[in-house]
Amino acid sequence: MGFVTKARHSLGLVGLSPIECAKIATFIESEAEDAGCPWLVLHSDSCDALIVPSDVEFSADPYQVLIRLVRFGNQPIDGELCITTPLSAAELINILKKAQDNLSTRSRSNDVAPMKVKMEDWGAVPANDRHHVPAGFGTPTPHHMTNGSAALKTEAWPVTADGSPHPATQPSAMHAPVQQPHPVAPPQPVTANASHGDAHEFSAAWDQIAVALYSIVQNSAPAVAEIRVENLDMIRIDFRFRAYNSRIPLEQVAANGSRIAIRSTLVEAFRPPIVNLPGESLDKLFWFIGSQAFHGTGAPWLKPEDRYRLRRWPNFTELNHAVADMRAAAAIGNCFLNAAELASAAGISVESATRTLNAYSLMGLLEIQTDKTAAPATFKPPAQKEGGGGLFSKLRTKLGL
Amino acid sequence: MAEHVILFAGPMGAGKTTAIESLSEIETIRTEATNTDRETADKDTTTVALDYGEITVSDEDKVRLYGVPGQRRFNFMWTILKERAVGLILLVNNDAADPIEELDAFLEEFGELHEKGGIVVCVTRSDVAPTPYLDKYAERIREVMPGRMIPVFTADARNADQMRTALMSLIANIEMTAMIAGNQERAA
Repeated sequence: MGFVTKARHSLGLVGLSPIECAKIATFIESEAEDAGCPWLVLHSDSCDALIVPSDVEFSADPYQVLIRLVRFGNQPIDGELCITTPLSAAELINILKKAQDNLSTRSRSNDVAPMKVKMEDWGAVPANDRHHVPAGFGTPTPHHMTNGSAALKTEAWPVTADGSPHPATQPSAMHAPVQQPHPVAPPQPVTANASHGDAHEFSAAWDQIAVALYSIVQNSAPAVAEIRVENLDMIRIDFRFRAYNSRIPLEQVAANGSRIAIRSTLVEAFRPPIVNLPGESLDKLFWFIGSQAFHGTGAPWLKPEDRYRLRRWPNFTELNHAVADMRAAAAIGNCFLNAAELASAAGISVESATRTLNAYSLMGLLEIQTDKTAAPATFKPPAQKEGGGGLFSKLRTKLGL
Repeated sequence: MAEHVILFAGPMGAGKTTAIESLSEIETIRTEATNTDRETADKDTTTVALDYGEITVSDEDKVRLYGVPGQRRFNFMWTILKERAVGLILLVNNDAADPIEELDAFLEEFGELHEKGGIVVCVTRSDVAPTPYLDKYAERIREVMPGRMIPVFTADARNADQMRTALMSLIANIEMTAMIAGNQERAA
């Protein structure tokens, strides 16, 4: 087992026991790649396919494939994909192949790019990637992070200087084994000014980090996580305290990341924090990753036909923000908008608006309106008096912002 | 010249005077007297009438910054200043005995300013007292002023950048609310 697997779809485990989750994760890590159906396993109900016990009432979204886990003594449900206990690797792989076929024949309403994720098993992770237990954590032995983990790396699909695909990305080369991770360039200072700037520099692996973080947040269970960037530092996250620690500025970590891994685990609420409190606000990390990931396209969990509204303003005094972000927050704070409408209201590009929505969504700040019948919102800025611009524009100029 | 009056309100010791000093272009006019209420705020002096600062934006626009006294016995000043104001920066110190109750009290008194313009809440001294978290403030605002979106930030009143962010967010929210209302009227 190496670390060359490319997951095309995500698999959510919902309502399963820890042993069932562990078995499924192990089977996928050990068997799925060879069988040609790699999956990214997450503890989330917003994945492409879901495994849910047959005795749990559950309705999947239309884009999802539902697989029922039929435990001993329960009856399979007619017409649904099922696997039975005791779980076997062969049966799991077989059912996942069916799910994969099912997904590949569907035309998703939103044109989300297939997942490009490399998974690695625990043994492939360098020894120093193991979870370090800080003094006073309360357990004498290291607490391995094996629950809900998704170890990810940058896709080895480089581009040439002119932006065209590198020859290594051509179909003939796609199945060539990845020998070694790309060398990491020495850390470069990054100007941390525009919140959405330099997005093209952002490694594609962070898209998957964003998906994994979103999954953990949606799970709402007490959890901790570590994001390790090779040759740099580790970002430690404690979701219970909505805090993280990183000794290197985020901009520098992200710009230099070539191999990235995230590991998460559920923890008991009474366990001491794994970050030095108060730490940095998790919103800061989510704002950064959310606004940079996905290359200006909508996050996979957002639906283009939905509209969104802020539940509360982001805490701009602690975020690296641009003045335009305030106008965007003011717009989406006062009415439900989609990306195009937000762009129109705030006077920003649709791409910036999409990045803003991605970030707000990851931060958990959005309410969703699924009413498809609502008329599209159009915005026309009020006529300006002579002298140009409202007070906001004038103050912006005055304050040099 | 168009004048835009922004009030700074909040309990004693929340940082209103300091916030105005951080923003004002002129030397702040202060009306302070010896603080006789050391239990509420452990500081030597407190504002008894108002603080005043200003930002001259252009030949045509001036932003006037008024800090109102935090103690209720001076609330006759509140009424006078509210009439001219288009916006409010409400500062609440997180280390107060019950900061959410303080928020309630000041929103009850100054909430009407949201209809006239806008309100921003700045939670100060969260470095000293990390809780309640901002979500708690936002939740309370939704309860007492349903349907209104009031920005809530943590802030250090001494930090000019943070106070500028609060002021700019207030103005952005006021202008955006007006634009959306105008568009809705046109659509109707």
